[in-house]
Amino acid sequence: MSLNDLIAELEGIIERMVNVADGDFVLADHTNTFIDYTKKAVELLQEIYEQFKQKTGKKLPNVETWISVAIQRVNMMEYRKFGDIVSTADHNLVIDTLKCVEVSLIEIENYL
Amino acid sequence: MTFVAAFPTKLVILTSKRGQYFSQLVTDAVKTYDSSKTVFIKRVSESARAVETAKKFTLKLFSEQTFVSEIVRKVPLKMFVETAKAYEIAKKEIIKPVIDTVYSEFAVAPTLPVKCYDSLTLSDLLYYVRGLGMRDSVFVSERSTMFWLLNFAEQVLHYELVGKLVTKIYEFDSACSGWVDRTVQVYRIFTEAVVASEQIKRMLIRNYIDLVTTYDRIITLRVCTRILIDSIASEYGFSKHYLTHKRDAELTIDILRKEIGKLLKEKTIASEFIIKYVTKQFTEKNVLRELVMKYIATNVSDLAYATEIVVKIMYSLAKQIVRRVYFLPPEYHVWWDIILASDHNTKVLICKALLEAFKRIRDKLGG
Repeated sequence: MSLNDLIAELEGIIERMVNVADGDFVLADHTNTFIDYTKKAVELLQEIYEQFKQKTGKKLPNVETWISVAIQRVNMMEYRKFGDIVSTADHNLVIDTLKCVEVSLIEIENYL
Repeated sequence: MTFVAAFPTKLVILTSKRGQYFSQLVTDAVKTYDSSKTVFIKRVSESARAVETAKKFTLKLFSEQTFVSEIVRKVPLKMFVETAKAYEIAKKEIIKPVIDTVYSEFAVAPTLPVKCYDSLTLSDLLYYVRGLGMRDSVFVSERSTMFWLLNFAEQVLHYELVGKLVTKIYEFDSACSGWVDRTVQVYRIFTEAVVASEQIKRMLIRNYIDLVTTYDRIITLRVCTRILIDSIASEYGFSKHYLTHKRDAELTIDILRKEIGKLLKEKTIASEFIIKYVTKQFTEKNVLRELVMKYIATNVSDLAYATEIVVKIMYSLAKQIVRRVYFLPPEYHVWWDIILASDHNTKVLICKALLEAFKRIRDKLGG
């Protein structure tokens, strides 16, 4: 998939995201949407890094490490269905993985 | 031998009727005396060898005991070093995640300084506790050594007193049988033996076994001398009667030797038992202390992990701070939390910010 296709998918996922307020129900879809987004973001990051290497001929060891960590964390994510308990790990895995994506993007952008 | 040869010879001259008979008796007496003298020398030699053996054995025992004491003393120090290493690692593990978080997030979460301070304070406190533990270990070791030495000194003192008592008894016996002085040669031999005994005793005065052997030697000499004197003094003859007494004396001496050997063996067994018991107690104490230290180290490791996880994550692209939420075991219930609505909404903002970053990089890549 091209970068544009992946970014388009991310946009579609973000459109499904909703803001919540105190007292609202915690739905399984809330968790699943973030999982979809995270998995797609990691996939997009890998694609961006490949194109970065092709364009600049450079390798960024830190980025490779963060991508590896992000993939590991994504593999630990589990989709929830109605009736399941949303655990704290569901929340923490998302923000930890996205943090790897963020620092990777910052470093790649610095070399462009 | 001079006495025995001269004194009965005079009797032979004065009593011509029974001269031949007495000559035969004198010859027997001389032979018997020579045999007795050999026995004396043999006894003294055996006693000396026994003393040497006992001395070596006691020194070996003392050496082993000292060696055990050294091992016992070194074990707490080794544990102290290992524990210090564990604490160093644990302390670094506490500090490292905090610093990493600070530098990687480009911002300092409000709670980090407090957590960092608490971790360092706790670490210092643990250092202090460990120092107390080491001091106590050394103190216990020192006290045990002193206690052991005190016992040893008391034992030496005790046997020294007993040794003097035996010597006193001997002197009393000698005074009662003062007529023995007339038997010059026997008295000289006996005196030499006693002097030799005293010399050996002085050499080994700090060894409790020397008393046993000295007592053995004195008993041997006294019994044999008395039998010999009785034999010679009782009408200068009756070799059979003398030999019977001699056999009885040897039998008595053997019994005494066995009894003393038994006592010595029992003392040795008791000593070894005490050493093993003391060693076992030290071992148990050290194992227990090691377990306690490991337990503390484990707690420190858990604390490091806990410090690592109680942080907020700063997203510089989105300019948002998002909390990590935990449901930890009961001992960490202070960090229990739930996912709030604000956490959910913050994640949405972060996703949107990352999307913008993706688009910006795509444009820079020319995609």
